[in-house]
Amino acid sequence: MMKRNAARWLVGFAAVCLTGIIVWMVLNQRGATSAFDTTAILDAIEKTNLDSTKFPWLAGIAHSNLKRWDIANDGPIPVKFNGVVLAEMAADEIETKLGQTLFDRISIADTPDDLVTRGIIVSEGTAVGRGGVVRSSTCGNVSQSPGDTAYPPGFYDATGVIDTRLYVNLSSAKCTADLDIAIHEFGHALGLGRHFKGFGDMFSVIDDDFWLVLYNIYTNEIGATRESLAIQPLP
Amino acid sequence: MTIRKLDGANMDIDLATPGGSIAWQQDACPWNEAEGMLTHRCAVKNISICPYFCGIEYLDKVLCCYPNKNPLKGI
Repeated sequence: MMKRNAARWLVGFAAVCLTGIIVWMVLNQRGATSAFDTTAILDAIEKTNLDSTKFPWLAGIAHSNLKRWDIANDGPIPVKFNGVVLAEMAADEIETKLGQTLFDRISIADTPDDLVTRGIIVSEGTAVGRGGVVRSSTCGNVSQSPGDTAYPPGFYDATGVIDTRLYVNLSSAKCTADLDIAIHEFGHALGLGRHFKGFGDMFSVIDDDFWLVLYNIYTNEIGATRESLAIQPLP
Repeated sequence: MTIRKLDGANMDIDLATPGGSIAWQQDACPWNEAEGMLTHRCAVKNISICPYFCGIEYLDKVLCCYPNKNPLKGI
């Protein structure tokens, strides 16, 4: 009798343990693939990209519409790295995370800056902050020319297509950029405007929300509105 | 250490400048954001100073206490 009770107890105990392990595995798997707040990502996309009322977007132009480079029709974004390894690493990381080829690393590599009409040019040591001031926090910025904060006039059109020449300025006399900062600045160049939680807030240069925002900007259609955006997890 | 409070500075800062008027990122005034408007300003010379304005951190970072009012206001 005692042996039979002990056996039943052991079988029950094993069943409880197995159930616990299965539940843990299911929860862990869900967490790895879809644990994010869709509304928070939509809010961030609206703040940083759809809303054209704040810098660098142009008031009234493609307001409430998704704005980005048109890879499908215009081709990958030409990039002139100028030998800045950190920038190449940032581009690698962005393409890996998004699972897409975004950059054309060859076509303007040896082209004089003045002749580049579409693409991103990396410039080292030329970052400046608001008002042209260099602070200890001036580690990178994106602009129409080195040592400037303004974007090129008309850098995107009414449909939301970015088609311009942008400089990604990395490092200044008071700050040396690291990989996260380089990725952050490339994020701006790819179509992220205002900072949001997870992108240049007081806690992080970039975090998981940054990647989700960038990924979903490049998987949704140019011109899309908030209501038409389909928010997906990273590949 | 003595902190002097000097009158008469020409200060005009807002955190509510419309897009296109400045060529850099500017954080939005949280009071404006909460109310969905652009009417509140941090400090406008000769006119007003925001009740939530709590100072300037060198060089030019506005210290904002919103939604709590500046405890030194009225002293």
